[in-house]
Amino acid sequence: MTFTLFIVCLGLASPPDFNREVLPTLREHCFQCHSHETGKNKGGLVVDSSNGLRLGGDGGPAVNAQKPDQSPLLLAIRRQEGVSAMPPAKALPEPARIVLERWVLAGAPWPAESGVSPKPVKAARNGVITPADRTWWAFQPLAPTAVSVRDAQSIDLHIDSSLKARGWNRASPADSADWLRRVTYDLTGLPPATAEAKAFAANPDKSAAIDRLLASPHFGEKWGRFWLDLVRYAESDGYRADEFRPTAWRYRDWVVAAWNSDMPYDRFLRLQLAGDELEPNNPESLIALGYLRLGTYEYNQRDSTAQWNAILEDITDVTADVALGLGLACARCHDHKYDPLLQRDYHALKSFFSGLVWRDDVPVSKAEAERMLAWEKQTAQRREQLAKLEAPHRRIAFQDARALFPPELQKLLDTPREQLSPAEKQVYDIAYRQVQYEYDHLETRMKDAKAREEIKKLRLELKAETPTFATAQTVSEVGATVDNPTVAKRGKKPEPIAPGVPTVLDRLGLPAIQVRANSSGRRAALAQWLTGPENPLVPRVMVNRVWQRVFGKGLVATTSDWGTLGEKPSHPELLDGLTRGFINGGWKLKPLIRAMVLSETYGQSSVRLDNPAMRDSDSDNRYLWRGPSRRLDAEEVRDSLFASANTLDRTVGGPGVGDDAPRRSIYLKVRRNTRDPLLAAFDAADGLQTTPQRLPTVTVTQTLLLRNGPLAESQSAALGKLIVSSGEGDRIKALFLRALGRLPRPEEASAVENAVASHANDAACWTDTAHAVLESNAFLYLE
Amino acid sequence: MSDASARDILSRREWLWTAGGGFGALAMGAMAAQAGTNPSAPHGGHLKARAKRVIFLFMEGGPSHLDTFDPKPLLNRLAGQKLPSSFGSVVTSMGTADAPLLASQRAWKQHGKGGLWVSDWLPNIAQRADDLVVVRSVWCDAINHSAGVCQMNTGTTMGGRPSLGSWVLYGLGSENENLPGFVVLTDGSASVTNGARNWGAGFMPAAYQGTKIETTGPTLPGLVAKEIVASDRQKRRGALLGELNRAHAARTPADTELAARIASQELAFRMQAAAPEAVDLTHETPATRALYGIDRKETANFGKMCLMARRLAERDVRFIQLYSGAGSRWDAHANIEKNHALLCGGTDQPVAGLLTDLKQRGLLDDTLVIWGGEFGRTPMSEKGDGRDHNPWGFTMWMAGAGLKGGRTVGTTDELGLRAVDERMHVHDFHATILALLGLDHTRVLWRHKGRPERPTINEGEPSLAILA
Repeated sequence: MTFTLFIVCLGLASPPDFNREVLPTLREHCFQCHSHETGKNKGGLVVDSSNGLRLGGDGGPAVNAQKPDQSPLLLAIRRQEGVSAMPPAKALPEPARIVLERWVLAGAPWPAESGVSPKPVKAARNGVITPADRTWWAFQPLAPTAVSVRDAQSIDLHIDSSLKARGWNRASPADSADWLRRVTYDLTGLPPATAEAKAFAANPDKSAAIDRLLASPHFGEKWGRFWLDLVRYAESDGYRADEFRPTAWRYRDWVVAAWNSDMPYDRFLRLQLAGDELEPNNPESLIALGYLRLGTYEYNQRDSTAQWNAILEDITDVTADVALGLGLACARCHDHKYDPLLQRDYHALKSFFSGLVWRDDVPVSKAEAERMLAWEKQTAQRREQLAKLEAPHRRIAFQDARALFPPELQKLLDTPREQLSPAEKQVYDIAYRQVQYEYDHLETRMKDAKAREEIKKLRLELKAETPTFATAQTVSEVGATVDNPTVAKRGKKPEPIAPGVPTVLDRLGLPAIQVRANSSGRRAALAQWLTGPENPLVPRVMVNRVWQRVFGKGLVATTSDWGTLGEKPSHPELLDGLTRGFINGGWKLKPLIRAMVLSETYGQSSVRLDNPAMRDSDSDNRYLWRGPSRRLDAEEVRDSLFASANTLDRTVGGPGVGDDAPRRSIYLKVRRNTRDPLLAAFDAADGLQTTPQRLPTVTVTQTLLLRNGPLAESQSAALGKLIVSSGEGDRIKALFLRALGRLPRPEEASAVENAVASHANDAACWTDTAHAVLESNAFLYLE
Repeated sequence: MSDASARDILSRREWLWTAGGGFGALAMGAMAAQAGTNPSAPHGGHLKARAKRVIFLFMEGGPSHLDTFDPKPLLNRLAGQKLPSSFGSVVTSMGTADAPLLASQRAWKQHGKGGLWVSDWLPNIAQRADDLVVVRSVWCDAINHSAGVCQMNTGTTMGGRPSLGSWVLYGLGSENENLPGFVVLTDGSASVTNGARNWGAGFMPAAYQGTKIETTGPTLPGLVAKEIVASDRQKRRGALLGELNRAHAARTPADTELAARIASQELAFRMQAAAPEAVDLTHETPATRALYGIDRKETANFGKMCLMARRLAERDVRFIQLYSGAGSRWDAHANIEKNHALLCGGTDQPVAGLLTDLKQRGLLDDTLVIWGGEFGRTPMSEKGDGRDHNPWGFTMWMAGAGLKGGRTVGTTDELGLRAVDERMHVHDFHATILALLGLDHTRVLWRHKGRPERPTINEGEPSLAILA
């Protein structure tokens, strides 16, 4: 007791040591329910930072800076009348309580160097969007003054006027061969063919060249890849097993075809989000919905409830990132600290997806479905026979699979599915995949050798006869009625959250949700809202992404972050004008891209030495005082090695192929855990998170792979041979036309000439020469 | 403008950074702006650093703390019974929550001046007991391997974030001009769970990712040409490449990325010479090789890896990660006796040898050595003689970095199921590693999609108990 008193007296003078006393006490007694560490913020309160205490929870601030002795935290731990006692179950041990009392009375100082949590930033939103929040530029309608921009000249006018305002001007036009190389890569991801380069040199008709490239089937391969980056496309599960997804490629092919056919972006988005609800008779819908199946999946996760929730949250996050350009993920656990996005908004968006169930092996067309049905009829008897044989072993397999789950999930699996609530059915389904896994592998787990062999034989026979059906991984809904996701608040029952649009955009009303026979109609409403005529964000975000792909930097530089931490547009009028033109033109992307690449802004030389001032004050070329330049993308590097040697197989579409195949890189199997080393080295997207822009790096691995890697070696040899055997009089010209799609510059020609002169008769001469060109910067960079 | 002056655009500091596994000039500018510091060269951290580099010995699959560093007499007393209800319930990977408790068959002794308990599976490491800080109270969020390995490497159970080694390389830069700054070695040909994303750079530039080097054959991908190209051909090709690049650079003298590219091409030539030498063990004395157990079949493999790790540490590679049991081989769901006897036997002498060698060469003072897996194992049995995954409480140890050894930090409950005292989440553990390297985990920042991202995801704090 003496000891306690002593502390109390001392406490008035000096606060307890934060790191040695306060923090361990908070951690031991409070963090369990109120910290980022545990992911709990009961009552909306976290006590793991000064900010958390100051902003407080649902009941207001936890500490009172003016009157520390009135701090709710203090009253709570003293268990005073009228205040929720904390911790709820049991009073703090006296020493712990005294530490916290002394600390709160001293003003609850939180030393910056404790480093427990980020520094205080901004007042909490407390679930409210203020009028000021609504003024953020990205949420405004298109500026009424912004005139529709749909042609190259209008783009140039905008860019010129912003250059002029700075006293700057445009660079001279790029050399026409450099322009052709640039635009051919930008539109198809490939170098110009020798014949194309020659034809263009004779008749440099840019408009015709652009039309030819836009009509090429390789356009969709280049631009589809950009979409696949955004939606984290991959063909495997991720996690440890990283199971291959043999039908995922259908989605990839659908994306490529959509770009090739210039599907309007609004429809493109709608089919991916709600094709089943909006165009149920369109077989494309099934495949487009593959978008909702691109997340990772862990085949042996036993906490199926959390697993399903994580799957829905992943879809929510990606959709907000891709379609809205907003990082909504922060709002999963609390109102967004920076942007006007509420926790409720997050769960309201998630609620649109709350009816989803996964469907595998769905026939992709009516004809295919009929074929499947016929086959099933034809084999019904034998399959029944097999089922009878398997039944006892399936029972064992079920029990074994079931035993791995926690009790509440075991109970769920024991209940007939039709008796479950919609939300329970979804969890049941995801858990049942693990049971199905055991059934699928039945013969590998059976101990009875005789029965095993019999089953194995029958299974193999059936399998051998089974034709290959065209199927897809897709989604449907658990039924017409679905359960809303819930958010827990202190002292209240978890609150179900209905589908709704972000509060900051609620002036754009949500179309009525029309319930379908077997589907909630929620995703259809979301898709319609996103692509509605008044939604300013979705088309703006896409127009900006296209601009970024063409010019290197977005008009909004942070292409997937349009919140308050993102950058504001460099040319707001142009952005709105292009968006208006895009909408007026029926959300078509090819005309938009065409206008950009046909512009003189795009056609400028990327090299400019006459005006260091522009370079110094705008090294990123945001204001476009020179033409765009960039390194080749990973796929372009690999594809060009094949293309230069004329060994590229230009087949469009089909199942993924192994990395030795001389196909375009977009058709390589995409396994999340085993990436192609060359593509990975050159910064290809990893298929785990949405990738709005790739970060180009310079690494030694890149250099070494181009210098000594097997692909660079084999293609250099093939290219060398091609040059020698082509019978071209001027081999140097032929080499540059093949490797770079342009003629050599005089200094390049003379460098090669000198190198070749000394060993022209050497068998390896042209192999080595070709290799030097293929690892050179002239190959790797577009001017 | 000549090539030389184009190169001068890269300052000496930037040049060094470029060497550290490569670096994009574009990203360099972006990052300097992001972090408010210039991270493009080896640079000090925020705090006083106690270590300059890390050697992380990753026992993949989850070694049993109950049979190595965390003895539980009660476990042997209750063996065969169910987990008493007072210990609460857990959701396990293989449904073993109600399985009978499994006794540890190990003989335990206290070792060193500190009296550290180490089991008879690790007699050589036991000899280094006074170098070790055994942390018995680590916990993580993952009941399965993929998520666990991912979290121990990147802080989160879901893929996509930068690995700890990437954050360290970003935070401190690299001090070796000729080698990657973050190197990974794995035993055997099996792939580590999750593959290369364990040492990936996530949303940061690829320049910060780990480079896996092979312990046999060509060290780096593409380091050696598939065909042996005669050196005069190589030279000729190199000369032509130089000419072409000079011609190209002369047209675009202001392009810093191109300058970095040329620098990296020159570095590649140097690395072709330096990397094989760095891991070439032929000139190590028989005594050294014996110290690491390279002379014995059972220990030769990991012994070589540990010796390579020392050589890389000597060459100032910043972050060196060694995987033992790649492909979850420590995952002893059944017959833990056989499984762990083999893996402990294969690593015990190499690891002890590494500590001894680092110490005698004066390297242990500024090298942080870390040992452990993605989780520990349950007191409950599985399949009669194995143990399930235990993320609720397990052991990692640290050595070197000026840490006071011969002690334990934290405890698990009486059956070793959950961490109890000094509970240390992976985030805390990572924050501690960063603090030892002089980095404040809240101030290593990377702007990603508008959010300031930190290595420990805004959580965790350095363990004062470890740092003490």
